Amino acid sequence: MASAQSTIKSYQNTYTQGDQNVATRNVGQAERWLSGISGGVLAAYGITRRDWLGSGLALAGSALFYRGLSGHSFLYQAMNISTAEQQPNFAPGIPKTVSSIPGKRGVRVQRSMTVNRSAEDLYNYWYDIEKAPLYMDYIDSVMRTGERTSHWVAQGPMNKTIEWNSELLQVVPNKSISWHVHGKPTTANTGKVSFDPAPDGRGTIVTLELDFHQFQGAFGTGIGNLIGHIPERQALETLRHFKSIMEAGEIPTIKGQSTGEGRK
Amino acid sequence: MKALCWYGTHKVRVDNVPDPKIINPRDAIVKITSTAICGSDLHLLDGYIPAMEKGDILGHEFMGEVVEVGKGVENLKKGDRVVVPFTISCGRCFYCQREMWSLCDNSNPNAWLAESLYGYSAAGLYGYSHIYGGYAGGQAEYARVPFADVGPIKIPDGLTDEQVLFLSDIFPTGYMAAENCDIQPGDTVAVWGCGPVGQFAIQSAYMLGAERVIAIDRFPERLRMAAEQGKAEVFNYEGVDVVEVLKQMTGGRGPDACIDSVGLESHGTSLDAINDTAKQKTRLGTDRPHVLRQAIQACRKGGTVSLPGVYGGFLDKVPFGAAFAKGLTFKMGQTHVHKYLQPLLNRIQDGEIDPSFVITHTMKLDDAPHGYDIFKHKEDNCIKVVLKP
Repeated sequence: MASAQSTIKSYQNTYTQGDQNVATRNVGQAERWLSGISGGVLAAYGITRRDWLGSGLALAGSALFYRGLSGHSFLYQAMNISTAEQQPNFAPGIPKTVSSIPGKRGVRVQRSMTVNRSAEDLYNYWYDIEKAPLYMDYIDSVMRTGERTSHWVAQGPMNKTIEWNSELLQVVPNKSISWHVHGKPTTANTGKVSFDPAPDGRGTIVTLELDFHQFQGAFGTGIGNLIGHIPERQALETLRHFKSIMEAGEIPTIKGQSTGEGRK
Repeated sequence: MKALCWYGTHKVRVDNVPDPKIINPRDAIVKITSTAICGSDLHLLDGYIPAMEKGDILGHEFMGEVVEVGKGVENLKKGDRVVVPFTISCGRCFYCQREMWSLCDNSNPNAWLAESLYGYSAAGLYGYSHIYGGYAGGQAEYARVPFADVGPIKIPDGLTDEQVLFLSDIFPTGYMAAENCDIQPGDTVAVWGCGPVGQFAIQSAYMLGAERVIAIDRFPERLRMAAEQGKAEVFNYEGVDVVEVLKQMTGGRGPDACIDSVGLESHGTSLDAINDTAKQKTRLGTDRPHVLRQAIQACRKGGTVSLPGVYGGFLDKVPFGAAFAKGLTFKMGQTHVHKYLQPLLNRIQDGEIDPSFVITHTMKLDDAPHGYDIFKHKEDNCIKVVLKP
């Protein structure tokens, strides 16, 4: 644990030193065309298949298409490769995807969702961290163990129970909460959630920033990114479920509904 | 209970399935007394809507009696007679609060799937594929109704099922299609497709002040219904230049608004329609937008093209240049049913319209596959099938 502690300290210093962002082009022109066209064809074919494989193909095709359109490859980014000419982007508000974990051996994901509730309501619900399993379906239970600490339990691979402790780093009432984890969680190692009022009373923009440790080295990270953008999915679905609970009072589901035979 | 289940393209049958139960606090269970087959169900039957799964229960037009409510539902009780809107909406998100109910943020459990295909996810729908949430539908004896505290509308005594059933979808859908045309005094509205939605669009256009409604189809019984019930001027599109006919009928100006109540399986006799069919059959294309092309071409300058007909994927050779050059407005999307329930129920109660005029067939739920069959092939002059569980 001691080494984890010291690593976390060093994160703080590197937190703002991101040098790559989503809008950065790292794919060359010819490759972009290739990605765009083959992605489009794959997506169109996937959609017409009208089955789950088709949905997967459509998803993969869309990702390729996006790669062509944007000129940004997450895999290249993870592997620190660029086939594009240098073209810095200074647009404000574009999230940094480089993690706070030194040596680029981690991945930061940032996702936002606008929720039709006040920042105060949302902050209060999130701060009551024992409610986390309600909107984080990959967490079994959370128990508060102190003023700033909590104990987390989740299912790991091979049905193994994994436990860890989380500690609050910084809390700004009605504005943001950040934390880090001691141990090896099934989720992010550090995280931050912030609540910013949207213009004209249009609810609150909830932004979730998660830093994940990954396999050592760029190659491992690339593979991690390829299998389904798991950290991105986790950040997005956490936010989506949080939003549903805060707005609708429940998370929409069809689990347990009636169906005909033949369903898995 | 019995339910009509989907097992693949052109494969539907009535099966015994488990009864639905309350899953979320805002759920209710409705014992269905009447349900209908919608033209958009044919897109599922024909396999044009992606992400269907074997065993999915179809049907999104239904009504019945509340038999159970979750603890979050306070406005309904056992025994209430209700019509259920086909869009599932939470009532509390940005979209619901702005009356854009079919764009609800919180009712699609598979929002990620819809986002991957469409960028963002719209509301969940009953029995309309897993892109729209995968909810079990209402061509069954019972249905689970999520967010029952904001969806179903209670029906006063004295109205028959047949009079109010279509509040669930096709009456509001036809009405919204007409409302989307922003009809001004003196306007002429052209309606492609005289199926049930087209019939309601025709009558709604008159309710909203249209001077003339011109209806286009090829089936005599549908044209007859549009002319007799809807008081529309009608013509058969087969073998004629539709755009030219409309131009001549409107003094050379063109219809002020065009409603495509056909959607992605449109039929035509021209070269582009044959090409669409070939591409759809060989999976080179997803939708057949033949009617949409005509509507864009026929619409007057600065007019509106309103699309209640469903589209699912990518559209080929849509004359966007014409749309741009003429400064057209496009309005489309799934119906914001909740918004129209009370006002349209009032119109029915006031005797302004009796929606039961579209019904041509009533049969038992057990006969639903036969109903699909005659509806699809327009056999026996079939326009609308109502099923009784």
